[in-house]
Amino acid sequence: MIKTIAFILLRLVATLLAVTFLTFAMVALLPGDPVDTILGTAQRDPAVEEQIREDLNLDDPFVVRYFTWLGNAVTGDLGSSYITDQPVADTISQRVPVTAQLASMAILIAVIVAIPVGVLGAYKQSRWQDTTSSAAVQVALSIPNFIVGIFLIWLFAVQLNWLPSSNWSRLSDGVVDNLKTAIMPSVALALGAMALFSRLIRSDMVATLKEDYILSARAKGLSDRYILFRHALRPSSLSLMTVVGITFGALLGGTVVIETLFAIPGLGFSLINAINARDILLIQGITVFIAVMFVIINTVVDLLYVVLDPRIRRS
Amino acid sequence: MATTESGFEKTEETLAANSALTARANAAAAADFEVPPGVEQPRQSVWSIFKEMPFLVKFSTMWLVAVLFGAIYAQLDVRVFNGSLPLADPNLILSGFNPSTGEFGTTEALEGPSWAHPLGTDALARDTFSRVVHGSYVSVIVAAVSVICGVIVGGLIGSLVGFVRGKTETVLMAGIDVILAFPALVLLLALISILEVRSLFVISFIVGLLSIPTYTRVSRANSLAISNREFVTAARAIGTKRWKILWREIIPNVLPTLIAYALVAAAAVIVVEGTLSFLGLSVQLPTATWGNMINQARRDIKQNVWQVAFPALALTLTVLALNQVGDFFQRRSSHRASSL
Amino acid sequence: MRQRRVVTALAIPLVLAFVAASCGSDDSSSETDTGGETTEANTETTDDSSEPEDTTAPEEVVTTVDATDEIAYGGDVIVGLEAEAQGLRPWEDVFSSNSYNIMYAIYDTLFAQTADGEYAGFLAESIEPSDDLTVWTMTLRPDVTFHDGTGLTAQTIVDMFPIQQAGANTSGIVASSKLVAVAAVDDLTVEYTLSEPNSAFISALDGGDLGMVFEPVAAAADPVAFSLNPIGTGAFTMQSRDPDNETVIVKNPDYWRTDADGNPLPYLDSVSFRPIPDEGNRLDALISGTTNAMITLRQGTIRDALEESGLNFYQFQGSNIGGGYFNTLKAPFDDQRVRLGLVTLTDQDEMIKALGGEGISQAGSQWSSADSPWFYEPAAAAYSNFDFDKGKGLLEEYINDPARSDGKGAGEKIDVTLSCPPDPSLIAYVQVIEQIWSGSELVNVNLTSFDQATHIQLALTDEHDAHCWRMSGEGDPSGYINPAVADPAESSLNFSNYFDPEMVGWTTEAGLTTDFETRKELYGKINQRWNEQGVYWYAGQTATLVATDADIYGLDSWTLPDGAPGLGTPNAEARWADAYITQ
Repeated sequence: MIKTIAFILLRLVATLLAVTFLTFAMVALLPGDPVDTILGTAQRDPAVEEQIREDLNLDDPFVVRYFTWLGNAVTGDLGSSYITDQPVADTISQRVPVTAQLASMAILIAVIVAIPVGVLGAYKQSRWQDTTSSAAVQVALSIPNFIVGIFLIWLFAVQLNWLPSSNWSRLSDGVVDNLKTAIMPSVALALGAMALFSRLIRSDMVATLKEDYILSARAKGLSDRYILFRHALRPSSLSLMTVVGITFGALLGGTVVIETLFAIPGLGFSLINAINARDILLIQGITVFIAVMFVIINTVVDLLYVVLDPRIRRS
Repeated sequence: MATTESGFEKTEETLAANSALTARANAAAAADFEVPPGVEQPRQSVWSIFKEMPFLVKFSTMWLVAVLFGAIYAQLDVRVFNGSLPLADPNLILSGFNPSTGEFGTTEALEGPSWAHPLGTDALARDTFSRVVHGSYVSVIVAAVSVICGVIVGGLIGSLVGFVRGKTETVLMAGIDVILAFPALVLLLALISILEVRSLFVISFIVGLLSIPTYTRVSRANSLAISNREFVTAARAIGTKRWKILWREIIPNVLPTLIAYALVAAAAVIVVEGTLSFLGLSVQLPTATWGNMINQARRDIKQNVWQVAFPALALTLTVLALNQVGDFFQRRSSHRASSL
Repeated sequence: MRQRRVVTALAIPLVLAFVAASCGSDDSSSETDTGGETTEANTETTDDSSEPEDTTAPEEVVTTVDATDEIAYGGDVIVGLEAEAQGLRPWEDVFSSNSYNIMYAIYDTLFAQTADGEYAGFLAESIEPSDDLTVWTMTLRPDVTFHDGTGLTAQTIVDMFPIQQAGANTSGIVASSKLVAVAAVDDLTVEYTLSEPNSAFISALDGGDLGMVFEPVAAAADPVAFSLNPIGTGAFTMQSRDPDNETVIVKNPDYWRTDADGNPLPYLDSVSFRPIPDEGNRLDALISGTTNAMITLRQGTIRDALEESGLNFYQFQGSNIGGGYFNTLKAPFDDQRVRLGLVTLTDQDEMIKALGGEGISQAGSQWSSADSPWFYEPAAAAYSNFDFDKGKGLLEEYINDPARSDGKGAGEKIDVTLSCPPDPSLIAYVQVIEQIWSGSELVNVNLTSFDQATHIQLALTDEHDAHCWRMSGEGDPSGYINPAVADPAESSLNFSNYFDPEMVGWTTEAGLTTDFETRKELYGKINQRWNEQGVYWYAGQTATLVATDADIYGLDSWTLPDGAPGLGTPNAEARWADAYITQ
């Protein structure tokens, strides 16, 4: 097992290096002079131009620039936005808790809904409960989440007036207010994940239910519900956990549309604003952050898998 | 999995097969895509396959055919027949000055469905039905290009890697993992905005590139399993050249599952294009895409909700249909395998 | 006899238009700097021209809300903005309607525009030019303090100057207003020295230019922190700033200004600003009570908002106008026939409809709205209204000309690349243009769109053919028009590159006199020449809206310190210092 863990960690470092290198390259190899992008071509102060050249190390060879940037990035210095002059790292650290909360809530909702749906589908395989629920799940998977968001706003904010239609109340300002602003976007995000999870659970359970030990449990006279939730669900939990981890990482980058729609100050919203304003350093910073988080989360899931899966542990 | 391999390789293999990143690819098909299909079966005719389908899948297939037909028809109309086919001009603003008649039109914006305009008119008084049909072209291209990219490149790499193993595998899969590590949407947004591309084919190509890793993972998992089957071992024993084995035995058996997966992936890609349009980063207006139709119509949703509903419905139905058909083929190929 | 009747018939609409123009409603002063950003506003015109030739019969747009007598203190207002204000530093961060909403509450300006478009003292009491208009002596108000307790003195203004000279936002204005030195004569008297006479210098001391007074010592010490924690003399102080989420400002108990009756300002306890980019959601937020006010510059949203009940609407239609220009240095746009032909082929009413603003914004013909005192009849008459056959005729003349400047053969279509930022409303109206141009069978139209920053870049570097733009505003025309007629070899701010030294001469002349009629005619002649040459096309005046809950008043009844009525809510820039909630 130690060998496996070592291998995973080694792979993590290599992937991180590659990911950061690619992100840096993507931005650094932009067509055109970065100074043009930043300052525009209107009247330019040569002193300012010199300053930017120095700041960005534009005169150094590419690899040197990468390592300088990487060194800075590791200590938390991702540069400052040329538009707002605020440090990129500060902007990111303000936005992360928001997106993280959205992603967590979305997954929680998805799991809570997916387990009964998936179990039901496996239990009543090919009967009307199965086909109906899998059809419903399919439809949920097919509707783009921004449409769901629009509908939710129309229903709960405009018509019923139960929830605020936009913006975010920070957790530090009160849990209830925070939940009120978080619930609709989380539900909109949860739909796709819920469909995914329920399909996974269902097919895993279908396979599990064919196993012998289930048969013996039934022969023992245990109730269906007991068997379903205590015996059959457990083997699926590992793959579910895997997928949850990956989905969380994916959601970190996948909240762009929902955040824009609900005006929630998360990573996605910042990214889109940065893209529209051509705020190169912020685009770079956010992309790197999300990519690195994604890799780390996947690695953590891998490690957990090694630790928890008895099949691997034994080998 | 073979028992002759060393403990480390087996661990790695198990790990790889179970790793989070593989699971992501597999999760989309709920682990069913891993099952190898087995020996070649006699080809069935398309019609007999169609007859096999449950009603919902039949309906989905017909819808997909309709979408494809619509895309082709619309393009023919524009490129070959110069608009003379019986489909309204999707960009003609019917309420404004019509240069060919020299008069102002009488159609209003945001009209409801009528005989002249089956799905009504949009905010610029353009025929919505025609725009939906033309919009299918964009979805078809995005789906087709990304699927072709994925199946060809991803399928090849994955099949090769699963068959050959060794250093090639380590190197290639490491590269694939790196691409997989990027959150696709973020990378897509960044690339498209930085490169400032609005060409349909370039956007589809970028989407295709980003989806290669998942195809690779799926085909690799299949290829791994097939490579350990008796008929491959037998072929190797006879001394068949490796590329021949790859071409004749491995790939044809990877393909069915891969294509089944591709259908589901195509659905996801179409939604991605919708999201890009929604954010204003897709194909240039005035080209109609389902995504930007939804986005434009949203501004007038209080006047006429149907203009949002129709393209949204087209999008949802297409995605649904692709999922249904993809599932059907996946079930079919796994049944055939397990029936051995 | 018959001839006389014809003349009379023609005179009536002209007279009516003239009368309507002089009885204008509010004019507002908005700084849509032609060298800076393009705002997102779209403009629309009413369809009420009685004759096709006549673009000068504007419909009166109701813009005022009757103030009530029940002024009450207290209350908190939440305002939905279009987008986050990138920064709150007047010298550095680009202005937008969004940032103005916040900044007018935190900062005061030296001068402000009255309802008649004149400039009157705000933070400053008065200003006197020397005879040759190169030395301006300004008297400040006594006993004004910044939020951090520092007193406002003439030295403050002097200390601001180097920061403004270097600032990304104000360095251009310092140059174009010819300001070279600022000196403190005594505690409350400031002397501005210009390198050239500039009769309109006072307009540079308004809103978004040099007039917004910030605390220079803190600004110089830490400009980055200043953006999050600005220090001004205004009615509110910054309490918290959570970018992209919420900015909260609270009442400044020591604010110097009072309302017309001597009551201390502000009335409100706090104002919170929330950026909600999605137009539909911003309106929904107001309707559902999540916010108490919102601003919008989009016709479609204005139309939707006006249909709601239980809200107050503060509309404004000023001199800011949408449209675009041709790059007159590039073939075939260097030929007047091509430009005029293309302009004649733009249907402004239809474009306005496409923007969703039918009945909401007016068709325009020049850089001043029909309600503005700067409106110049001959310029309006010179604008080419939509005439399909006439436009085609002009283009055909060029196309069949063997000596055509784009070097193509006789009979070949001309190529036009039309570029607008990817705002869906703009794209919509551009399609109207494209349809007619293509439909003439004489033009190959290529539609492109780039994000706003790139769009501006392309304008500055002359890499464009036909370029969407938003021109003008409420301030003195010199601020908008002077850069637009400058020699392109010297200034990149003349986007159309149309240059005639005679026109520059007119602007110089206008800078030498303070006589309104003379200046009006000079700037009017510039507009007229542009219209005759087909340099610009117009897509309707910018209509803007500030919508609030039914109990919020005061946004258009605010007054200047001397009691003159202020300019309302130009460009959806609301003055929250003067807003109050009735019981």
